[in-house]
Amino acid sequence: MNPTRRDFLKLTTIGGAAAAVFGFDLKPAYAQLRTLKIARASETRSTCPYCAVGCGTIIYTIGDRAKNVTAQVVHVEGDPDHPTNRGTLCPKGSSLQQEIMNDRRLLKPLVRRPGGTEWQDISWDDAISEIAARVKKTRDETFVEKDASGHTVNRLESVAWIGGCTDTNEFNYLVVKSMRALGVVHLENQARV
Amino acid sequence: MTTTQTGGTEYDARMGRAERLAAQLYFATEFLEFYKHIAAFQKKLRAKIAESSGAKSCGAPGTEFRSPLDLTVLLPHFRGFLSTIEQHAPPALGKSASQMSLLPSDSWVASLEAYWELAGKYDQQAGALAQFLARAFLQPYAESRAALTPRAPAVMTVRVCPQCCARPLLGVLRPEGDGGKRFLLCSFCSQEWEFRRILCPTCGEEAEGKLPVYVAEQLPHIRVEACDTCQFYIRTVDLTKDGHAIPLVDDLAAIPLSLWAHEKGYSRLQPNLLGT
Repeated sequence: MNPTRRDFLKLTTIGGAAAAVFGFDLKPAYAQLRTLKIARASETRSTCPYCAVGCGTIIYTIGDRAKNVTAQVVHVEGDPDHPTNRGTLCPKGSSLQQEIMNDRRLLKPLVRRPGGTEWQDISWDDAISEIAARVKKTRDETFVEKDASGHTVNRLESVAWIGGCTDTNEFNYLVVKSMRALGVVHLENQARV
Repeated sequence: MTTTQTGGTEYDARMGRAERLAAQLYFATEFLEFYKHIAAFQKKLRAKIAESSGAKSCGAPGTEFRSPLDLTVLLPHFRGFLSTIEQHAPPALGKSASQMSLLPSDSWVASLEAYWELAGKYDQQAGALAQFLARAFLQPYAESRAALTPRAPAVMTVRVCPQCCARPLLGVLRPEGDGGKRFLLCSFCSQEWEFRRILCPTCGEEAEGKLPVYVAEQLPHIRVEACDTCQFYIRTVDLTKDGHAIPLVDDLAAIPLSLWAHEKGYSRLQPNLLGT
């Protein structure tokens, strides 16, 4: 029952193709091997950003890790080992791939003027300048320094900020810092996960 | 006697799947046609074992898994098994069965007992051909023992079978929620146990970047889950992609993936029954 030295050497030489030692014909399998289209995927654990439940996800990325190749996210699924969701995802979480890879993503700022029906291109510089001017004008006109009882409150009630669920922690930090500096009190983001 | 004890439905499913795959995958036809004969024999043997365990205490619940073989049940069928192999196996294997049939029954007992004691622990070193006869013959016995042995609830991820301490043959992804839960399938007793998705079952590597998954367009439900740290891989059958797959059988059919992985420098953690 123990393999002879010769058998052992044969086995170690052919490694994964030990079936040849059995006498099977491996030619068809080798022929098929040459036609195989094999993709390398990486599985990465992540957390769904959308709500406070914080479901675990597994993100599939295709790419051979070459430096000049950008890895592509091809699939996102619930992480079956995650204690919160045990593999499940809500419809929004199931569409996470579209949040990462989406050809409808806006790549430049657009503006729709008061009364207008169409979105128009605007440069970043113009957009930022215009927003800053409007914020300053609104703040100058409506800033509340003291309340009815004479207490100093320094608040700006006419401007509000709402953040999206995919904003990063760093982005939200800067938003809070800048909005608080302006006196904005109606401030909401989704930094819950 | 229940179907769990006889395993009849299970073996029928394996044979049916082997037949369908043999018709679809020309490169695996020879392997699968041969496997059908093995499975047919194993089905009969499993039924005999179940009959006998009904009459005696062999394999009764609570029996320690690797307690001594019940040779009075097994040995009378070994010659029939060898002649099945001689009749249907490829030349080298047929010759090996024929040589074994000439040996006295003491030698059969010695080889079966040796395999029973060490199966799944050192197979990679022993080689697939050397262990084939004992492995194929004792598989129904091991499966029968596993079906009757009570299992403690899993409390941690273990790299060897919690029942018999053998190494895993395959990974299996079964639908759970919207994803696939990974189980490992024992190379010896064919039982499954839960295992974490992103973790190497050979060396315990957890770094996601070192655990690539390779999938061929032609066999989308079979994954080669490799580890760039230890250079071993485990094949995983993804039942979320093909719910008709029978992991043990689909693994036998994925021969080109074994050749591919070997060319890439990966070794298989545990070869399957037919050495691929």
